[in-house]
Amino acid sequence: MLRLVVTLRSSSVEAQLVSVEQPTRSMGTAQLTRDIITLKGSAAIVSEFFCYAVNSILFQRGIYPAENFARVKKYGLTMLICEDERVKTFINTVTKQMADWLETGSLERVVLVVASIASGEVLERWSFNIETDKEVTEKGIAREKPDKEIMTDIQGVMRQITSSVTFLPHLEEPCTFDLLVYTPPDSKVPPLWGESDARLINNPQVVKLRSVDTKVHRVDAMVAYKFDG
Amino acid sequence: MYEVSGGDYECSTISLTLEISTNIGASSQFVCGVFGVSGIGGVGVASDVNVIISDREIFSLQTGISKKQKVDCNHDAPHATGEAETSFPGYISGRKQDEVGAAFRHCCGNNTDVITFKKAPSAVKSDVLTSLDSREKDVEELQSMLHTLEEVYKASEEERKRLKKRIDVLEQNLSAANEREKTWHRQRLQESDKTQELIRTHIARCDHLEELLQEQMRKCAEAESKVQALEARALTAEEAAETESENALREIRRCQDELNKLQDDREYMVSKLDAEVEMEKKRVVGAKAEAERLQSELDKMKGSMDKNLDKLKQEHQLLDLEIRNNALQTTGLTEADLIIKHLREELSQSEQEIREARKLKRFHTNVEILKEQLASEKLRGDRAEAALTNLADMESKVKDQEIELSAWKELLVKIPGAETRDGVLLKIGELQREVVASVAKIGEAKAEVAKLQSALHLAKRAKDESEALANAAQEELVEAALNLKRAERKITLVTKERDGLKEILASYDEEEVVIASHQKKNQTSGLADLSTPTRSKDLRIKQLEAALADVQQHAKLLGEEVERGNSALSEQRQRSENLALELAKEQERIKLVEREADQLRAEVSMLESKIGRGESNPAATKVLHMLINPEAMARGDNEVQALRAKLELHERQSDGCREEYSNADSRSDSNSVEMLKQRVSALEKREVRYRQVFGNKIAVFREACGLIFGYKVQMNEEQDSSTGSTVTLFTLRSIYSGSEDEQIQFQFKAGNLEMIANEYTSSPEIQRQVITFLRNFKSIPAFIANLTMELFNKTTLG
Repeated sequence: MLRLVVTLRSSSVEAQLVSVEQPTRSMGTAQLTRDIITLKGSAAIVSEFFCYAVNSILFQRGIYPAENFARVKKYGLTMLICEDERVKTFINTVTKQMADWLETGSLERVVLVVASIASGEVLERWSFNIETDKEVTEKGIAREKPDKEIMTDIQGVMRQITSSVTFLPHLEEPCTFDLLVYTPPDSKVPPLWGESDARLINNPQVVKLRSVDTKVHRVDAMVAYKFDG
Repeated sequence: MYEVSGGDYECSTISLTLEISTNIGASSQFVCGVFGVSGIGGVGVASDVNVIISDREIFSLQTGISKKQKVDCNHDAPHATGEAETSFPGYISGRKQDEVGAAFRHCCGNNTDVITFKKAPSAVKSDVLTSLDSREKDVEELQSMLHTLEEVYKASEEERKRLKKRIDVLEQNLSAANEREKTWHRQRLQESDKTQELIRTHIARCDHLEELLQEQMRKCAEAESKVQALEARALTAEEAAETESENALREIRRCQDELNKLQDDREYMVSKLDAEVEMEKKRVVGAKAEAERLQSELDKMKGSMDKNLDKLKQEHQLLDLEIRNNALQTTGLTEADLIIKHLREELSQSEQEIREARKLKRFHTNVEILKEQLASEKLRGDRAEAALTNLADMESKVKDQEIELSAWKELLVKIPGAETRDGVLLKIGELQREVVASVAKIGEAKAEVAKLQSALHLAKRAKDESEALANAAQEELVEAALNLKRAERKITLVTKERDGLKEILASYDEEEVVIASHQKKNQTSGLADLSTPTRSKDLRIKQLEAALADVQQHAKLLGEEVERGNSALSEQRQRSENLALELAKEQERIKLVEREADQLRAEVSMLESKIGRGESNPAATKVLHMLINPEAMARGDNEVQALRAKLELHERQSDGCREEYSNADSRSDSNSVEMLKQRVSALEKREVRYRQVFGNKIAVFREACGLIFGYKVQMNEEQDSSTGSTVTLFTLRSIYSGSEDEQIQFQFKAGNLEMIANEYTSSPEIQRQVITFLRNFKSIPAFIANLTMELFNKTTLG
């Protein structure tokens, strides 16, 4: 006899990833655990991933001093979160808005721009291209993917962000950052938001990073940086 | 029964056993007496004659003789001791044995002609002798006959043995051939089964491949339909591009007109600027000239004023001294009063002069202002010049811009469907959309390529397998052909053997016929029944022939099967060739698809690099960010700091400016021109006076110099014809010179004093001095002193 247990994930931004139980078999009955991912749940996972990824980049690239960061256990890793109130508020606001856009499938790309404070020149561009499953957004159907696999994807990207310090050029001048969001031209511009230029780098070096796939949203990460050599 | 045996003697011994049964004892006795052969008892009806030749073949003849007699004889070895079974002491020689054989045969054959030797020997002695002679003759004849018959019999026996041997060998061969044929047949059957199975599998594979091919064809047809659709789209796009290019041309024309207008405006502006610059230049030149004139005047007035002041001071001092002297001398009061009055007047005059001098000082300050104005004018002039250079730069830039514009226009012309800049952007957007579509197509093509590759792989594998099978089948065919050839060869050999055997059998038949006829002739014994072996032989031959016919039939069947297999193989080969051709076509198609895939991959990499750079289609996406972001905050902080610094700097600068402004205000005089005019007139008067005073002084100075140095010096100014500059000439004439022509001329030019050659200086006397002092030592004073001394010596001493 096969009994099916389905766990549905909440849509809150603070969605926690729980390790998935392996299918167990005992006394002639098999219990199978599957993870169904809804659009809301995926949006929550992806926006949370952005939050942690941005914080990680800010720490690894030394945009803010190390003493401004606090350690948090997440995705089976020790993540660093910026405790500067202004930065925290900014990132939280942006990720909330992103979650809304992700739910409507109107978020195409998120770019973290690292620029020099003095000259305003863009030195690094951390790009996260998002592909949304149209079927899910239009018909509202759910997809299946174990949490463990998603967590492994996110861990991979986080590890790559951490290791990117080895190949990215040292930022010699004080830098700051901005988050750019690519949306369709007909999407509404929320209050306190405005249009920006793409902040491109001339003749950059591009390194493709891993992807995070929730089966609803697929996030392809890459970093482009200014290369003078 | 007679037995002739000799088997125990060496290899060449012949044992001959003759068993003859006879009823007639007397005849046997007679034979024994004559031939020395003992008769052994035993009476029988039938007689068996067994002749053992060597140890192999036994040819037995059954006769009706029942009496058995055994004769042992040694044919080839007369020296042998022998183990004679008879009591007869001697041995029968080879010839004798034949004779004995013949006699026996004769006896056997002539059973009825028994002679009794016991009838009254004395009475019928002559008859007996004659009869004996005749009998002896008969016996001889019979012996000779027997001999010949025996020879014939021997030969026939040997022939029979040989034939038997050959028959055995042939039988063995035949049985072996039969076995071989059976095995071969079995093998053929197995092979045919295998080939049939292979053919079946081949056919199944061929069907599968055909299905695949049909699928490929279907896909090709789909791809072609897609291509057609794309071509139709491309045509529509081209039409759209044409219309857009027309629009672009119109826009370009409009742009050209605008450009022409702009060029005209620019030219007009340039000419205007040139005129202004010219005016400014002229003004600058005038201002410069005026400034120079004023400067020179000012310098002169300064000099004269300083001198006047010195003079006045001196006078003042002198007056003071005089007053003091007067006071000391205490001369008359009236004179003193007069002097005092005079002095007061002079004092008042001097005060007036001092006031004038002050005025002049103010005028000087005004001159400073004018100088500043001049400087500002100069700056303006410089600016104008800079503007001119800028204008040139601008012109060059404008040219560059025009070139660039033309390049852009060319580009616009080249880009179909892009009339304006916005059109270019739209075009780029379209291209990006197309790129996205192409990326999707690439994906599809890639998938198709992957499918085709997998199909190709399968087809290749099938082809390899079929080729391997075809090769195996071919090999099998070759083997079968070889086997067939071998079998045919065998068949021919067997037929040949059969024919040979038939011939031999025919010869046997003939021999038998001969023997039968011979037997018929003899008709003495019951040995006529020889038909049984011949019958068996015939039967066996027939059996063998039947088996041979079966084998031949089998061979034929196998040959047919082989032919069938060959035809199937040829069909398969043809099919495999067709498949190979199709495979080659598919490979070509795959190559084409791979090439397309490479192109698409290159495009994909290009697009990926674009994506990597972060480029996006502005028409399809909108880039948003929070207005209050960390960058803006950081930059705002930075700007605030910079602005503060700037403000401080400006404040400091404004303070300095205020001070300067106040100074400038104090200097400014509205009635400066009038004042200056007055001052100028006063200064002119003073200048005249100063000139007079200085002229007198100069005259004194020159006279004193002439008297002290012994030369009268005249100074003249001349214009240099080559450079146009003024040259000061000094003409020196010694007071000791004899005539007016003896004078030396010097030219003062740019701080250098050079002597000008004339008749006097080029005279040998002076020339020597010139060389000594001027050329060698470059000393004018020494030359002058020496010349003075020379002239002095000439006029006073000489």
